[in-house]
Amino acid sequence: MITFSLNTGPSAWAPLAMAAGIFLMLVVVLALRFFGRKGFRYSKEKAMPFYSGNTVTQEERVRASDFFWGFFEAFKGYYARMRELHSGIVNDYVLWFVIVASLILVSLALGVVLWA
Amino acid sequence: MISFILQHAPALCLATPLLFAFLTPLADKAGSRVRKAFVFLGILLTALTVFTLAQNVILQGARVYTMGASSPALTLPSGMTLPVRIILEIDAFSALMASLALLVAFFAVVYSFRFMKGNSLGKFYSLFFVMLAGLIGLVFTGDLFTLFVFFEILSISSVALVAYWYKRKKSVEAAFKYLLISSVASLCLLFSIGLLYGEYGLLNIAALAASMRLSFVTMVALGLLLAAFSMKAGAAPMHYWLPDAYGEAPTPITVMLGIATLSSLYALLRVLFTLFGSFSLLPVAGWVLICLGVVSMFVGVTMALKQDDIKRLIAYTAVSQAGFIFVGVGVGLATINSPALFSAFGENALKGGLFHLVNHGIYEALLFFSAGAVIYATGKRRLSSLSGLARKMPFTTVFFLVGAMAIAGIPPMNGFASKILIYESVYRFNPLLTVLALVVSVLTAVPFVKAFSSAFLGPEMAEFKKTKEVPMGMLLGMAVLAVIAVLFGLLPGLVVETIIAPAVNALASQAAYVGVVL
Repeated sequence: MITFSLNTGPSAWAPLAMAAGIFLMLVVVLALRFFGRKGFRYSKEKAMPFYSGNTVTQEERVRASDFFWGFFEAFKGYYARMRELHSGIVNDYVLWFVIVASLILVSLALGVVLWA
Repeated sequence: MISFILQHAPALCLATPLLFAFLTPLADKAGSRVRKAFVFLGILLTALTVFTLAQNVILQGARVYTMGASSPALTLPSGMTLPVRIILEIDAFSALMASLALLVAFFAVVYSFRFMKGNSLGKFYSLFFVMLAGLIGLVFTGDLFTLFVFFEILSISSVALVAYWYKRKKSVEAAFKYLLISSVASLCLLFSIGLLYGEYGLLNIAALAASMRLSFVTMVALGLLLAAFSMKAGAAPMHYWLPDAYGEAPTPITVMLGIATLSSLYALLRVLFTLFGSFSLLPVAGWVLICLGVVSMFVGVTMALKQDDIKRLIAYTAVSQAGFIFVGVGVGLATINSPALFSAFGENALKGGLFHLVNHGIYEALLFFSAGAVIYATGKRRLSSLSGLARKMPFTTVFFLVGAMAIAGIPPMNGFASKILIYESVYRFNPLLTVLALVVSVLTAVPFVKAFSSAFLGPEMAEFKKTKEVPMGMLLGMAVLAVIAVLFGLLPGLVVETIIAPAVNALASQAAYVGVVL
C-alpha cells in the first residue's frame, strides 16, 4: 500500500494535501484573472522593472554585492574574523584538522573516564 | 545470462568502469562521436548493473562477493575461521549510496558531452571512470584495507579532475589543496587501519566488528577515522578545501565531488555504526558528530551569504547541508546503545539524516548543473556581473528555482521532507538543536534569494543580448533531477519506507552485517 504521508514520530507530514491546496489557490487566481480586463495587450514595457516610477538601467540594478548590506554591517566583526580564518593557506587547513582530531581524541578519552 | 550478471554484479560494478577507463583513450582516437558513444555505453552499463544489484539487495537482503574464491559466497576458505580474501559486502545502505552515485554520474556524463569543449577529452573520461570505480569500490568494500585503496583511487582521480583545466592557476591551486587534504585524510586512515590490524590481526570489517573491544589503541583509531572522514565529508572547521575544489572543478566534476563527499560520509557512518557498532563510546562519537554538524550548519550558511561566485555560494551551502546530516545521524548514533531512546526518536533522526543525504545529493547536483549552465551560456560566474537571465534561459531559471527551494527546505520540496524528519526527532533529543537547525534553514534561503534575484531577475544586460538557453543534453539532467526533487517531496512516506528504512535497518543492525560474512 502506498503511503502518502510521512510519519515523523510525534506527527505526520502530508505534502499531497498541501499540493492540493496550492492547486486550489492556482485555480482561484486563474478564475480572478479570467474576470480581468479583456482588452489587455502584453508589451515588453509592461514587464520591465521600475524603481519609483523610473525604469531600471543596467547600471542602476541591484547587484549581488548590494544584498543584505545591513546584515553584513551588523555582523562586521564576525565576518572579519571569518575572513581571517578562511586564509586560503593550506597549512591553516591542516592545523584545523589537527585541532579537531585532538579535540575528538580528548572527548573520547573523557568518555572512557566517565563511562568506566 | 541474467543470473550470471546478478551473481557477479558486485564485481561487474567495479570491472565495468575500470574497463571503460582503460579503453576510453583508444575510443578517443576514433573521434569525438565514437568517444561519446563509447562513454555513454560505459556509464549506461555501469548504471544498469548497479541499479539491478541495488534492487536485488533491497528485495532479497545483503550480498557478499568474495574475490578469488571458487564461489562468490564462500567467505571462509576451508579450514579457516576468519575471512582472509577481499570481500565486497552490499547491504541496503551501500546499495542506496551506489544508486545515488550512479544516478548523478549518469547525468553528469550526459551534461559533460556539451559542457566540456575540446577534441581530446579521452583523459577526462578515463579519469571520470576511474573516479566512478573508486566511488563504487568505497561503498561496496567489506574490508578496511580495500576501503583505503578505493579511497585513494577516488581522491587521486578527483584531484586530477579538479586540475583538468590546468592552465587556470586557480584550478591548479584548488587541486593542490585538495591533494594535500586528501593525503592527510588517507594517512590517518592508513594509520588507523595499521593500529586495528596490530591490535586484532584482522582487516575484514565484519570480523573486526565481531572482535572489537575497548582499548587505548582502538580509541585512537576511532578518533583518527572520525576526524579523517569528517574532513573529507566537508565538516566545519575542516571544510576550507571544499569551496576551492568545488568552485574550480569543471561543473560535471563538481557534481561528482559532491557525491564523493557524501561517500566519505558513507564511510564515516559505516565505520561508526558497523565497525564500532558495539562500542560503549558511541554516544560520545554521536555528540562529536552533532557538534561538527552545528558548526558546519552555521559556518556554511553565513559564509554562503557573503559569496559572489555562484559555485562557491552553492559549495558553502553544501557545507551547511552536511551539517544537517551530521546532526541527524549524530542523534541516531548517540541513542543507538539505548533501544528505548533509539526506537522513540533515534531511528527517525537516522532516517532523517539518510533521507537528507539522498536529497542533498539530488538538489546539490541540480544547483551545480544550473550554475554550470549559467557559466556555459554567459562565460561569467560572478553574481554581480549577471542580471536578467530568466528572459534568455527560462528552463535553467526554473530548475535553479526548484533546487533553491529544495535546499532551503521550502515545502513541498524534498529538502523540507527530510528536514522535518530531523527537526521533530532531534527536538525530543535536545530542543536547542532543532531551534538552531530551524534558524539555519531560514538562513539557507537568504543566499539563494540573492543568487536568484541578481542572476535571473532584474533588467536585461546588453552583453547578454545574444545569450541563449543551454543545449538539451545539459537541460536533461537538470529536468530529471528537478522532477525527482519534487516527487521525493510529494511522496516522502513512500521514499522513506521503500529505500531509506531498509538502509537505516542495515546501518543500525551490526549483527546482520557481521552475520552475512561470518
